[in-house]
Amino acid sequence: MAATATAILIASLTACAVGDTAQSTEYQIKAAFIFNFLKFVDWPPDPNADPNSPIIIAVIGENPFAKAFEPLQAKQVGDRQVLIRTYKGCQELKDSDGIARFVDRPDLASIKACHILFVARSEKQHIKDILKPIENAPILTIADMPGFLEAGGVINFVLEDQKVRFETSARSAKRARLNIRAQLLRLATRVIKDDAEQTDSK
Amino acid sequence: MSKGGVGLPEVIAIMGRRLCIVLAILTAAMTPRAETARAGQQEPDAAPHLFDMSIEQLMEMEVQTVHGASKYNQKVTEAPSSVTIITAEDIQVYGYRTLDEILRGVRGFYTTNDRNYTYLGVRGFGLPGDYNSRILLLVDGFRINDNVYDQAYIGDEFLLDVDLIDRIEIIRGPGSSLYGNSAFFAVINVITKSGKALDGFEGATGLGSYDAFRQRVSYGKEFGNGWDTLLSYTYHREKGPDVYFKEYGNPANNFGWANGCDDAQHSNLFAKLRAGDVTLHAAHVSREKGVPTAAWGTLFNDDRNDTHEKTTNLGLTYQRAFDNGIEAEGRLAFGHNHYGGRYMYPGPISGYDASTGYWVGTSLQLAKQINEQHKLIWGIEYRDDRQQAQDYYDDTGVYLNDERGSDQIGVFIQDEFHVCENVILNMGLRYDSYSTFGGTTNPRFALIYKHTQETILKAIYGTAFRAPSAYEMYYNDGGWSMKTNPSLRPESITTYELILDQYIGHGLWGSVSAFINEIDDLIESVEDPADGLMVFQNTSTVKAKGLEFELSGKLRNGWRTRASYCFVRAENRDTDSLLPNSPRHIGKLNLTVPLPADKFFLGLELQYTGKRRTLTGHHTDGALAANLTIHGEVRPNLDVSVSVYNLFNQRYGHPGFAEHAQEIIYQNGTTFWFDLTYRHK
Repeated sequence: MAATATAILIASLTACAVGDTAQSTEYQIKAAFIFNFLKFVDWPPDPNADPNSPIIIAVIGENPFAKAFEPLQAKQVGDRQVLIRTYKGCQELKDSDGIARFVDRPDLASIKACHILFVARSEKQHIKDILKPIENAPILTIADMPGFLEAGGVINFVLEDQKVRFETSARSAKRARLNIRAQLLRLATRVIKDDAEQTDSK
Repeated sequence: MSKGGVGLPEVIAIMGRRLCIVLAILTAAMTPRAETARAGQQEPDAAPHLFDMSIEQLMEMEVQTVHGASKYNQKVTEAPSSVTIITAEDIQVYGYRTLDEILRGVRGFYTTNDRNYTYLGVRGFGLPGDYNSRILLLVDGFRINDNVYDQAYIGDEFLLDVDLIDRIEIIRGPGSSLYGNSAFFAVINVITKSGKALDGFEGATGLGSYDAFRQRVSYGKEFGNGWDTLLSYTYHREKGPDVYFKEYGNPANNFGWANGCDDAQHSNLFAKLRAGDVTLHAAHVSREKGVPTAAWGTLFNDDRNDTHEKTTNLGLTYQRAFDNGIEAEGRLAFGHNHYGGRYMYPGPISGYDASTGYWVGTSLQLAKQINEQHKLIWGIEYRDDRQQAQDYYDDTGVYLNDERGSDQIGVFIQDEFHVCENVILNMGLRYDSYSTFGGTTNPRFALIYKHTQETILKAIYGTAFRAPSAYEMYYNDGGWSMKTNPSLRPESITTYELILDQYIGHGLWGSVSAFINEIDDLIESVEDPADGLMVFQNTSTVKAKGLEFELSGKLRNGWRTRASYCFVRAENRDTDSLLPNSPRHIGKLNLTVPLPADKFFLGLELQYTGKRRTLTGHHTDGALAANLTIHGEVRPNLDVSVSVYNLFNQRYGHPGFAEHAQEIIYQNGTTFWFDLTYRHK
């Protein structure tokens, strides 16, 4: 038994050296959801921007999507291309560049220019640090962590009966000047309303 | 041979031809797909068609997760086991009516039916005369094996109507590191539907061959504020076929015909109420079944030979995720089971055999994601078998009146250690202490290596145990034929398994598994040469080696398939002989085809089971059984289902047990089933 256990342990450590990141098709489905959200969310018009500038989808932290967004690079929304960006997570940035606070990071302006920001689970401890400085920027923030909406996020994925569902905060959307269309709100399993503190649950 | 083959050769011939056409289409449809899958390097791997779906369609896509492999939800690809999931949709499309019909369609599984109970064989192990005690059967996480035989009931006597099942997780391999006793070859975790899934009243009426009738009425509702309820009642009866046994083919025994002796009747009640974090479960089943085989030397063609079983389970579950990240689950369980058998002997003697037991149990488990790398689950489980009673009496006296009780406690811990992004090391350990035989410790290690999103390799090592049952330890009939052995030790199994899961493309996954099972101290009934009495002893060592292949998935055109093949060689190392009732080859094909009519599906099952050695050293023939179901929604509130079982009217049989004069017990020929389900919201 000890021998088998040791063998498995050694194998597990050596296995880390090869192979690439993996997540199951759960994130392929979530990627497709995110692509769909583009059709049901209106961003505030920006008179300074080129109407044909690319739509930027960004992931901050350990990217769980792997190659799931790849087919999107070939797709267009209207005449606009879709670009995928990834940003280092808070802890990683602290370890590598010694930057402890989100607001101090040099790529903050670049993050603020994104249309969609997916906050990976690796950022669980830093949700508020990330969301607070960008709460007024027109960014559709998305995650799949409990408490994300309460911390100021706009859309949060949940798994229900093996299926991907999402909940949304109209309050956070309003603050970010995003208009979530009724078709999308109707499909959400939970909507945090923008006026009062009350929660509407289906 | 059963009289069963309802003589409709024309219908069968037509159906056979149609089946050939279906198979030809399937082959044609699959071949080019397989080629594109192989050549599909330039195609992005991430299922591009998902991006063409609407949100409504995406909301119907399933992410395969499993709860029972680690006692919390995790992705199937990250589970420390080989897992198969059967859904409510499968149950509908394949016309399943009982749990054994579901399980015999699963990779590496086969069933043995003695026209009274159905027994499950797993990976080449299904000794005649076993009582399904090496499978742990859970309903909503509650253990439902009885506490005298430790038997998992999987036929009509199973706790639930299968229509109430949301999904079944079949978790292969040793599970004692989490579950303790009986999680020897597999854990079968049955999860019931929520009231929300029914959302109103539902009724189902079924009619079938041999005057079979089945009625179910159910009600389910979600009330908001975390309240949800499901209530259901099912009644079923059938006259059963007149059955022919050549072993009794003489004038004194009605020329071998047992007429009206294979009847069955059962009913079950199920209730579930969820109120926030607390769920109350209550289930009861009662079954009566005629025994047409004249088992145990009883009178042949006597319709008074029968058995009845009653099982009641009550449970309370408390589940809560706390803000500090701890997911807690507490359970209280009560179970009661009764079996009674009436055996008619020549002369004015009738024998009554019975077992009765009840238990109370409690468990608490806590799970916590400690940090990025570690998810821990630990828990404690206590069970008090308050009663484990066995009786045998006949008109001449009482031969057995044995009343026992026992208790056991188990503690376990498991760490899901994400060594790095693509490597998981899953380590579990459980210690169980029994008042009967003492303690046993069982570990499981699984290494899960995700080479890419589409290639996952798992290496698993684990041990499991099966405690000797009260029946094995204490059954005796006053020195007539059997005696007790209170000093029995548990059986143990060591399993090594290597699994490769490979995404092939177009929604199809391939899986290859190589396994070795080594069983020690196998409990078997042997004759004590000193007094000629049968007694259970820890005897043999068994080694089984095998390979399994599976291809499963949903294709883009709506077809779904699960095809598998299992090769296994199981031998008794002490006698150097292959095990009886152990087919070397098991092949399965399940296919769902959407029909041109909207919301109509054809479900086809082909099951090949290789020859099995009988107790007398001969073999049953290999058999190919085919079942066909057409299921459809004719109106939004009305479903129709028509099934034909044993489509080709194959004559095949299963090995008989020691108590049978029949070397082979033949199964039914072609039978039909018609089912209507109506809903009122």
